[in-house]
Amino acid sequence: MPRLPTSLLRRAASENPLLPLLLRQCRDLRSAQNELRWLQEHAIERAQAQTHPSEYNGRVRIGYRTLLRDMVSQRTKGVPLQYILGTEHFGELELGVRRGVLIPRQETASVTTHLAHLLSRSRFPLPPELRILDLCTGSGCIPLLFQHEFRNSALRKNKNKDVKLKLLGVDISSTAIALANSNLQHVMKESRSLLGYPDNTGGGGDEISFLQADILPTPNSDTLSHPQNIPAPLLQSLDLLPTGHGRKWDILISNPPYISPKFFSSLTTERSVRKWEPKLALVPPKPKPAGSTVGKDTDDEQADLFYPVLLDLADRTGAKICLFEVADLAQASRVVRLVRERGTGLGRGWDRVEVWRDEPGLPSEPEEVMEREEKEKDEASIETVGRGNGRAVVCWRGAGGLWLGKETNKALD
Amino acid sequence: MFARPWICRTCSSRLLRPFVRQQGRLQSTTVKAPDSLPSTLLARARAIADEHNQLTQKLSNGFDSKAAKKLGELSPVVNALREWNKANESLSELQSLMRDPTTDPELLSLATEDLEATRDSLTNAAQGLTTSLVPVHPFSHMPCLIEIRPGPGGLEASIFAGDLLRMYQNYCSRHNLRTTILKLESMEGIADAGTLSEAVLEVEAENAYGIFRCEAGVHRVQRVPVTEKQGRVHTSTASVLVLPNVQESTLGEEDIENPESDYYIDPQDVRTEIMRARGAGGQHVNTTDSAVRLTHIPTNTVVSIQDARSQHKNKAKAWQLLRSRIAQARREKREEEIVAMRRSVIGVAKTGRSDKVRTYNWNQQRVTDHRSGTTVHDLDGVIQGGQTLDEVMESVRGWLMERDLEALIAGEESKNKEKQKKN
Repeated sequence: MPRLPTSLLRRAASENPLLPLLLRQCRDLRSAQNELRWLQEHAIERAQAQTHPSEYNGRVRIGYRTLLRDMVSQRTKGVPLQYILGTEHFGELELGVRRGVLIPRQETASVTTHLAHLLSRSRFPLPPELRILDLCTGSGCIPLLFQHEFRNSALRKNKNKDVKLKLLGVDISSTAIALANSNLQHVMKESRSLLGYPDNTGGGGDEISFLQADILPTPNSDTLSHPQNIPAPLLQSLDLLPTGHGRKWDILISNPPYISPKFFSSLTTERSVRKWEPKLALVPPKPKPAGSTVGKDTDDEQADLFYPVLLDLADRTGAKICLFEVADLAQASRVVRLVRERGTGLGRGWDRVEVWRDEPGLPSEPEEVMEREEKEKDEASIETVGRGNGRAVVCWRGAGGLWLGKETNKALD
Repeated sequence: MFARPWICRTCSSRLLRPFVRQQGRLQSTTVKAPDSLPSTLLARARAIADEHNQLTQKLSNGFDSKAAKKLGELSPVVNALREWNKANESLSELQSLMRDPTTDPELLSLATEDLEATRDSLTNAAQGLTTSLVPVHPFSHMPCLIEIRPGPGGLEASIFAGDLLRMYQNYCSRHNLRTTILKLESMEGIADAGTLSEAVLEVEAENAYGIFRCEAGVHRVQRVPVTEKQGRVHTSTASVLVLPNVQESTLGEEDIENPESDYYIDPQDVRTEIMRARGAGGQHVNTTDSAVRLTHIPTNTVVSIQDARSQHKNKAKAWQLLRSRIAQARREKREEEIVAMRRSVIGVAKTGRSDKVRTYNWNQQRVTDHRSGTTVHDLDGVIQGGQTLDEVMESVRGWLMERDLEALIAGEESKNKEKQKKN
C-alpha cells in the first residue's frame, strides 16, 4: 500500500483529529469523512439509547464521544465498518450483519436485483408457485432481496402478481442461519408496516425460510467420484421439510466460497476481509486428494470446488435456471466449460449459458464489447452481459429461457 | 469677544449641509399598484366570468371532474368581479343622485359622505380583482430544493453561504417546515465547519416553492470578514437557486414517463457511474463507498451524491436532483422566450440569477432588497431567519406579483392589438 502523504494527514487532522485514524483504512479523504459521519450518527444514536445509568454496570452514562473514539479505534485496526455499525445496505434493504457471517456485497445485490426484475417481467407464464433455492445464503441477503425486488417490480409492472414465491436459504453455519432468521423477521416487519401485509410470510403469500445443512458431500465418504449419488445431508434435510416437494426447485442461486488460497493470501483479497470476515465463507475447503491431480492446477481446483456439486444439485432438484457468483472472468470461463461439458441432453444438460458482469442492468462499455468480440474469435466464446468484472454464471434450460425472456416460444419448438 | 469668529469657506459651507448624509435610495424600483382597473384586465375578467357561466351550465347537466376543477380555479375571479360590479354600481348611483338637482339637501349631504366610502371599496374591489387575475405560479404548490453556492470572494463568500444556509434552516424551523440536507460540502482543508462550497436543502412542505421562489438570485454581503486582518470591508456574494422539487408522489407516474413533460429524462441519455470496489471486487473486497454519479449527456449535467450509506438511496437522490435541475433548465429556456416577447412591449426588470437581489450590509446593520426596494435595519433578525426576514420575503412576493400583473396586462394588450390587426 502506498504511504499516505503527510499533507493529506495534516489536512485531515485539522478538520477532525479522528480523520487521520480512519484514513489508514479508507485511503482517501472523502470516504474517511463519510465514514466518520456515519460512525458519529451511530454513536449519538447509541448514546441516546442508553436510558438508565444502571444499564452500564452502575457507571455513569457514556457520552457519544467516548463511544465514537472506541469505534474509530476498532475501525483503525481494520474491523469492517459494517460490523461496527451492525448493519449493511443491500439493495433497498437494510440487513443486520454479525461477526462470523460474510458481509453482503453490492455486486451480489445488483446481480440478484437483475434476476428478480427479468423474472417479474416474464411474458411467459411463471408457475403459480416459483420455488427458489439459495445455497450458502449467509445473512440471507439473496432470498430477502429477491422477494422484495420481485414483489415490487411485479406490482409496478402489474405482471405476475399472482405468482407466489417460495424461497429457501441454506447455510452450513448456525450463526449465519440465526442471523438470516433475525433479518427475515426485521424485513417482514418493515414491509408489513409499509405495505400492510397481514401474514407473517411476506407480501402476497410468499414464504421465506432458512435451513442449516451441509452442501458438500461429507469428506470421509468416497462419493466424490459418483456425482449421481450424493448422499449430502442437504438432500436428506430437504426431504424432511414439512411442506413436501422438498426436492423440486425451479431456480438455484448460490454465492459459494470461491477465493483460491493463492488469491486469499495475496493482495487480491483486502486485508480487512482476510482478517475479520469468516474464512469459511470465502475459501472452499481443500479437496480430497483424488487419483489424478497431475497436470491440474490444484489452486484453481480448490477455488472451483463448489461448482460441480452445485450443478449436480441442480440436476437432482430439476432446476431450470442456475445463477452462481464467481470471482472473475477466468473463473467464469472455467465454470462455463463445466456447464458445457454436461451437454444438451434432456434433464441434465443446459440450453445456454452466459456471464453477468457487476452491473448486468447497464449497457456494456466499449472496451468490454471489444474484449468480448476478441473472445468470440476464440473457440470457447463466452457471452457477457453488463458492465464491470465478470461476476456470475447464469445457465438455463427448457422453460427457464422463456421465464428470463432470453428465448421465444419458437426457439423451443 | 462677541464678534463672529472667522470661519473658512469650506467649513461654513459644510455647516449648511447636514452632518449625516441621508442614506436613501435615489431611484426606486417599486411600482405603485394601479388604482383604476385597466380596461384589458376588465375585459379578461369578463371573459372568465362568461366561461364560468358556461361551465356551471355544463356541470348542471352532468358531472365532469375536469370542468369542476376548472370551475374551482375560476370562481375567485368571478367573485371578485361581482364585488367590483357592485361597488361600481353603487358609485354611479350616488353620482347620479348628486347630479340630480331635485335631490333633497339632507340626502345630498348623506350621499357626499357615502361617496368617499364607496370610492374606497371600489379601489379595494379593483385590487382584489387584479390579485385574483394574476395566475398562480404553476409550481408554487410543490416542495422545493434550495441550492446555495458561494460566488467570487473566496473564503469570505463561503462563510457567507454558510450563514445563508443557517438563515433558511432557522426560517424553516420557525415556520415548522421540514427540511433535509441533501448535500453539504465544506471547503476542503479548512477546519471551520461554517464554510460551504455547496449545499442543497430540501424543504418538504407543500407550497414551499411558492414561499422560497422570491429568494432565488445573487445575495451580496458587505462586511469586514473574520479572515480580514486590516479591517477593510469586503464585498462578496453567494448565489441561491430555488428549484421546485420533483417527487414521484407529487408528480405521479405520468409526468416522469411522459416524454412531453419537463421532468421526462430518457434513461438512455444518462450515464450512471457507481464507484466500484477496487480490484477484483466480490468477496475479495469489502467497500463502504456508496457514491453514485449521474451524467445527463445532452446537457452535460452532472450530479454526484455520496452522503447515504445505501447506494440505492444515493441513486434515488441523484435522480431526483437531476430531474429537478433539468426541468428547471428547460423551463427557464421557455420562460426566457416568453420574456423576450414581453420585453418588446414593456421593460420588465430582469429577474434572472445574473443580478444581485439583496444586500446584507454589516456596517450599517442593514438589509436591502433591490427588487422590492425594501430596507430593514434589523440585520441580525434577518440573518437568524427571524420575523424581519418574513417581512422582506413578503415584500418581494408582493413585487413578484406586480411583475406578473404587468406581464399579464402587456400580454393582453398585445393580444388585443393582434385581434385588431386581423379585423
